[in-house]
Amino acid sequence: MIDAKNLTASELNTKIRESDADVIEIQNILGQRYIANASNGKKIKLFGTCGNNLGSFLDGSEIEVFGNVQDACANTMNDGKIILHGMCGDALGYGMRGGKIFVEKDCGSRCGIHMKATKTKQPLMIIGGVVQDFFGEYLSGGTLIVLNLQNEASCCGRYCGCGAHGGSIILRLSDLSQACHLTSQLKKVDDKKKAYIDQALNEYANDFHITLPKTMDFYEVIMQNKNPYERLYVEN
Amino acid sequence: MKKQPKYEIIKDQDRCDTCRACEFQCANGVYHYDAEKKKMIIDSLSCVNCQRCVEYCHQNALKIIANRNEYHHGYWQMEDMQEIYQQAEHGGMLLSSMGNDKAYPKYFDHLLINASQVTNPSIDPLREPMEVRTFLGKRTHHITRDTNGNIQIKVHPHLHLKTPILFAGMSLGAISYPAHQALLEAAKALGTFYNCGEGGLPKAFYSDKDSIIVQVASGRFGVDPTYLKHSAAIEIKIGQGAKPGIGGHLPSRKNSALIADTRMIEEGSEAISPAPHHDIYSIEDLRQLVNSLKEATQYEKPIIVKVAAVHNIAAICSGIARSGADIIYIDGMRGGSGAVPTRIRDHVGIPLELALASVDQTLREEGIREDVSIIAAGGIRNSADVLKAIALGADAVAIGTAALIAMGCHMCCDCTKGNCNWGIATQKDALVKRLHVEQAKRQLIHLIQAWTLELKEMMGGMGICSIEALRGNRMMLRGIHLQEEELRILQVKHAGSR
Repeated sequence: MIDAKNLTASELNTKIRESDADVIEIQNILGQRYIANASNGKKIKLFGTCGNNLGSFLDGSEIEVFGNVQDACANTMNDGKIILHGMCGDALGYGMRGGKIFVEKDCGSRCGIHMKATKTKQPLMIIGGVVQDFFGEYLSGGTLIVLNLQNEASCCGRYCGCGAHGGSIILRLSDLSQACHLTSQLKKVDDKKKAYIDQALNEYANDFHITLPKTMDFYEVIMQNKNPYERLYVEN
Repeated sequence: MKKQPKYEIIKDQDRCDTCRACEFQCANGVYHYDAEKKKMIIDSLSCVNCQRCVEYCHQNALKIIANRNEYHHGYWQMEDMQEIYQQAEHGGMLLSSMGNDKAYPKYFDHLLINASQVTNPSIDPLREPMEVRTFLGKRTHHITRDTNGNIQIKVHPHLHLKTPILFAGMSLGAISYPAHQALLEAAKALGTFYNCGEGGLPKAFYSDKDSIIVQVASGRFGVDPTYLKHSAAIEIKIGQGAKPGIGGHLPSRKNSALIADTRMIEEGSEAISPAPHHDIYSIEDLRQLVNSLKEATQYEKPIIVKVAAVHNIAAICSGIARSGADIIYIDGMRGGSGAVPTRIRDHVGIPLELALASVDQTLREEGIREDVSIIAAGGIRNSADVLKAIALGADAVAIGTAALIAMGCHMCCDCTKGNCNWGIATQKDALVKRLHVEQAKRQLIHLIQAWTLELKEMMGGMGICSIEALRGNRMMLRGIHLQEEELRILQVKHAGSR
């Protein structure tokens, strides 16, 4: 167990790097930034409030946070898993390319933006609560799922999926009015996607030790264009 | 609205032996052979003036000239009208390539270099040592001692260049794989640095990490811990001189398997880099990314922040210097791009020379000049520009367009179509093969060697034997044909002033 009290981010990261514990437990985190940056091969449990850039450039480690997390968590995440038992600030998973992020409660603005997939990696982010504006902006690959388990009046803020040109944004809507800020068209998910969602939610429920409602209606945001910028230009 | 050819191809019929080399060399379809008439047919409308056909015509039968249809108006130029016709037809924003070609002042050409006479004698660089080695990064300016009084040396992460010239970042996608190979090989041989741009780093280059600068741009293409590790420095790209305030976009049609693999995206998808990093809305946010990258690489590498020269560049750079960055890269309005909206290229940003002088002066006044090094780029054409940039405050310069020209680019400025006949700004297999890595590497090495010799020659003439003594030394410059305000910003006296 590491006590983070009075440790700087660098000191904390050094201790994480040097630790060979099967599970690294860190107590008393109070806003330290950059925790477990570029980390791989570790299993880390964090207790407290994590500062900005938790798990940036994460490369395979598994992080479980018991508390809230501030902005830019999982910035440019390449691989691994982050489980947040709490809420999260803005720009969660910016430029995320691989791995999974599961959030128990709400997230701020610009979450899941610039998420992309590769030939071998398909990132996944599941938010148990609701998200604010610009969710999934510039999305080009991977899957974003918002569950709105507390049945808030609105599941996502404005400009959801703007500039998105690939991947999937899935909204669980118990009432279509919960998509009141969404300007894009929606479609019910098909069976193939539903099977993928069920599998993902099974893992999500296991991680949070919760039972999800038996019937949930999932809708997919229809991307406006696969080539949003192509037609804007004419070669001079 | 009939489109008029920009260029006219004039062929000397007596010389042409219909060898068809022009046809085989032109990827734009300008030439085809009419077997019935036994002659070459020319479609000038498709000509971009890349000069490939001219150079490969063994009979010297071809000449390309600007198409000058007679049209005179005191205000409206033919080019203005052609652009309106094009936009009226297609409704899109005009897209161009390379850098700003408008007739704004070229301040480098209004600065004259000093030379020693009688006192402070000049130095012959052929006989005496001239120091052009350059170190880029934060400098230690407080001496600390241990309890025994011994000086404790703390060297911040830095780049060591054998000559104050680097290669600018150009992505795989904007230019071809062999062009990247040539730039890297030349950088290694010269003791300087190759910059992979924002399109990721080919895995085959990983073994040469000591000569590589990797970029982190808003799209985060190809960025993972392994990428960061295989570099000598990391450059956060905020802006680009050719298109300040504008992001990048590699269209899906150019996103081949190689590019997708290098950028770590899916083949055939759009590659969009938005104008802003959406995790950076303030200097505090920038500081966070700087520190995040330092943490990720355990404080072993200098962090560069690249910005375009814009109106309030001095305040911006003051903020960057305080963000913890080690090096600031200022890209002037003459900087190039593989694809850029024409209006942005031609009308946004300010000249490098003014930006550079202003930034250097501001950082000095604020006492933070030693906290960062400055790389100047965007329109460096020759060694005199290098010297003037350093005298205006740069620690080193970066060249992009000049490096492409050294490899064979003929500045047709049509990179955006991806049909570069010289194999540089293209991803088409048949064209890419035309660029010979060894030859391109050799030409790059020759260019930098020549510029370094000239730099030493000019420094010697000034009585300066170390590039450090030239940095920000505006007494070595005098302005000509410049207004008082311009001289004030440049901090340069007018020629003839005492």
